[in-house]
Amino acid sequence: MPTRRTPWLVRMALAVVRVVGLVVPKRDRGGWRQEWESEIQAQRTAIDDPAAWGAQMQLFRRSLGSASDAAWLRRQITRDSEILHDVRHAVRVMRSRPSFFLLAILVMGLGIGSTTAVFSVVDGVLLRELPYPEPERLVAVWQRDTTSPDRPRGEVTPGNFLDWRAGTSSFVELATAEPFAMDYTGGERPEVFFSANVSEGFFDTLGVRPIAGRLFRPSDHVAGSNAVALIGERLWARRFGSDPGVVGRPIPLDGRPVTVVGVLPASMELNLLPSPGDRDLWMPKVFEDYEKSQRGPGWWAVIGRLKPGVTVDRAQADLDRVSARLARDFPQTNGTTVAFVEPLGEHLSAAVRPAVGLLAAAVVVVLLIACANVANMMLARAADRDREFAVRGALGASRGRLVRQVLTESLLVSVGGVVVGVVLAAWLVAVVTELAPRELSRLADVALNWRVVLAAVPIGLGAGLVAGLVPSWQLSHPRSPESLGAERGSTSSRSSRAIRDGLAVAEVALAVALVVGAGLLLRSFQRLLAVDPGFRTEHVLALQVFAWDRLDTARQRATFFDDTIRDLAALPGVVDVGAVSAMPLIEANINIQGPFTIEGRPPKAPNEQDIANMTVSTPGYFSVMGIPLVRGRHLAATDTMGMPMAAVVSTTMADRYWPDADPIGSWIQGRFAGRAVRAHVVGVVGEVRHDALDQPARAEVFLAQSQVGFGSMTYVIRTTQDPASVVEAARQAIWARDPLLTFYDTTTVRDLIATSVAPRRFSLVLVGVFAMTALLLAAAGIYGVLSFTTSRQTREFGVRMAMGASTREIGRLVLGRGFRLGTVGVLAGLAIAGLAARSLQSMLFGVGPFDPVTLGVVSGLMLTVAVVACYVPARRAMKVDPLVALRD
Amino acid sequence: MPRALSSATALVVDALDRGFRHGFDILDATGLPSGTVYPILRRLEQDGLAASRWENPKTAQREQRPPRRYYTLTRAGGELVELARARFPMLAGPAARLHARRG
Repeated sequence: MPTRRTPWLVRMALAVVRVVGLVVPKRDRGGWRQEWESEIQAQRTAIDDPAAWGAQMQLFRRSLGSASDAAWLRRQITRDSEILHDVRHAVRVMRSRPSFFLLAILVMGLGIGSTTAVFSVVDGVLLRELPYPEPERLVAVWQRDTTSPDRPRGEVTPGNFLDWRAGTSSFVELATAEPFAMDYTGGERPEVFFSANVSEGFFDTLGVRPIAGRLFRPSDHVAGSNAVALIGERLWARRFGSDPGVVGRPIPLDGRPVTVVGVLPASMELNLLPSPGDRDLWMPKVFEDYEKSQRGPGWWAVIGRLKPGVTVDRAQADLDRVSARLARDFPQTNGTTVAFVEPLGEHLSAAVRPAVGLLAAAVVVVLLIACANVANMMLARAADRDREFAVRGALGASRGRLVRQVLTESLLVSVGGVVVGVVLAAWLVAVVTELAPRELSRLADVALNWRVVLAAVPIGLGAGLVAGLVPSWQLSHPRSPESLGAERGSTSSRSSRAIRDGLAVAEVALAVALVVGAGLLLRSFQRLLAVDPGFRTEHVLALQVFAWDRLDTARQRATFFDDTIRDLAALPGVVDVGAVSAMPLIEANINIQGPFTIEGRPPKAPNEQDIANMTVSTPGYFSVMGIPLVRGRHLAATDTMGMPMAAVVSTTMADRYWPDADPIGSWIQGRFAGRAVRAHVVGVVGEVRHDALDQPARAEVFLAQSQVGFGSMTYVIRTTQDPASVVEAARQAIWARDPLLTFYDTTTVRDLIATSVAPRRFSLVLVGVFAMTALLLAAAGIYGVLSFTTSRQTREFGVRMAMGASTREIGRLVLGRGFRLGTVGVLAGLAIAGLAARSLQSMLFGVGPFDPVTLGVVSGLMLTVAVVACYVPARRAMKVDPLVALRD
Repeated sequence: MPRALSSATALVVDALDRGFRHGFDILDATGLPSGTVYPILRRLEQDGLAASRWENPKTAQREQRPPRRYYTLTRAGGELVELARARFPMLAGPAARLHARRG
């Protein structure tokens, strides 16, 4: 009696009970089903809340237990000896046809293995609980701008956090972490430790205990107190050899001694914070006065622990109240800002959910095809064994007995399949985690564990049951005593032939749908790689630094970058050097957005102001990156601090704000890094895909580093050879000017591109592998059906040949049949793909879900595979000797 | 009387005695998997240690779900409780706590 659409896992659970019920002895079956169904349908939380994954999964797991229940009941009425007899007979049968059963086991193993591997991924990514006590009470709180609905998880500013904490009553504790980085100078070379500054109670909110030392005390969060830090288990091992003596000892961080007071377990290193996610150093946050009033777009992560009994919805309502007040009090910054609460961990898996969903769909298809394949093989075997069953039936074996015999065989096949599948799954899991991009960091925790191996057993038994059901249903038809005397050459009944053909068509159809999906992803990927990023991708090294310490004034910073760029340019193998504040595609991006006005135009209302990205660069940045000058001039060495500020704008910016005019010569006013900026536009440069290849270029204003003196910069170094080969020399050159400077990120532009497309590559490779598997299985299916029917038609072919048919005509007969099966399957598959297209839409780029090229190529491929699969049976049919065929 | 009293059986018997009456309730109370609990319930019923009956359909309807099958210990089953608790003293653990929380 569910009031809304029942979630699919719950429907699966009900289906399991329905199918398993077939095993229960008839007299108990009705009550048995009612008992199980009532229990499942009473689980309101799992049914009514579509997001209650954990509850639904538990329900599904429980439904699998019905198999043991049913088996127990069945055993009560079946004497043990009968089961043993069935198994022994099945083993005998299998040993008489080893190649047939080995093939069946392999096919089954393929299906079970891939399903099990994907289940491990789902288990590890979506179902595993966070490693903290009472994780269901933990939430993340984000700051959402109602005008950009596609980005619900905005990071938070300290001002808003403090007001949320003061104004709500739903939380035991609300805490925040500010992503940070510290330069560590206690080792051989200066090094960056990625860190977080955490507010009071952060670790208590999570419920984390230190593995050595202590957590922060309230007094640590007071301005002027001694500098203290907590380090993560990994960093502890990597830098301090897991020496317990490090606790209580000062280490040099950002040029001052900071006392390590404790070590936190590795579970703290989860990706709770905005990227880059891995943090292994924590310091107590002391709020500065200016931070307390900081609002607008932020960069802090906020977590909370709900009071017992408080739901996420209530906490949301609680925060909404505060947001509404803030919107009234600070219309400029908070007019469209609301808080967004979600269970902690939800955002950890949000990035992987589409990929995992796709994977799960692909793998279910493979499992279905494997089942259909084995079912078809068993069906063919059963037909071959007409006589055996007829004899046993005539000797008094009940139909139920015969059905059980067939089911025993298919279950034995699936037991073998489980063994093969677990081995395959172990390998697949290793491959999947290896391939996974960093965004899917939770995948790194995925492992084939006992839970997953145990899951393979019900999956396998279910598959065996499904594969055995069709042939047993066939068998359960009354068998005429004439079969006893029937000859091998008799054509099988119309209905069994229809079932076999239907299964083969279904296999082809499912495979086509999957291959179409993989094809669309492949095309999207090609399109994506074909996108012109607007900058040079080869032979460019990027070194990101935050040069604020020891360089107090803008002039010092400008000089520092001037000097280091000159030094770098003098290195052997270096062609050209530049620097930029906002490097395209780099992980820790320094994106500075701000309102600006164009002089001479009427002023706009505060909430309608034009926004542009403010970027600082040196003249060399454009030449190194190959960003073309469209009009005017580039930034130049002559743009120095005494001169009026120069600005170069991107084409997007020029088109958007000067649609009918030449921007060159215009004066723009804005703010950069806290101070007013007035600059005149001197040039227009080409488009750059800054955020991702599939994101549009942005409105960007480039200011001259020689006039701004910014500290957060990325050097771009164009090299003649492999850029990795100059990394060491480049670092040494910069250290010669400042031996304590650390490198936040060192990468090549080529790697930046590769990283940016990694999630797509990941989905593509996995779906591609499963699609190929499906294609092979479908080919095997067609081959199986045709070789079976041709072997049964030997006599018919003999007659035809005796009547004058040529071998070519016989061959065409077989090929034509295979082609027909293939065509029907392809058409059905295209229909399935069409129905599924919408769910794939969001993962496509530059190609529609009904891309004619993909559909055409896949159809052609599948038909070719179908015809190739017919080749052996056709050859066999053509070699039939009419004399032999008629005599047999 | 079952040949050997397993810890799982003891847990189920204990849960029944504490008033957990239907399948999933007992799963929650014992923390055992469904594939273990149901065969135990069947065996207890077969051995005459537990009895089952269907819930009053009206009650179920009021709660908008199909009627459940309720299990209770018979008198013979009641004797088993003492045996179970004597052999597995830790039974005073999880189920008891959960029971207490529900009032």
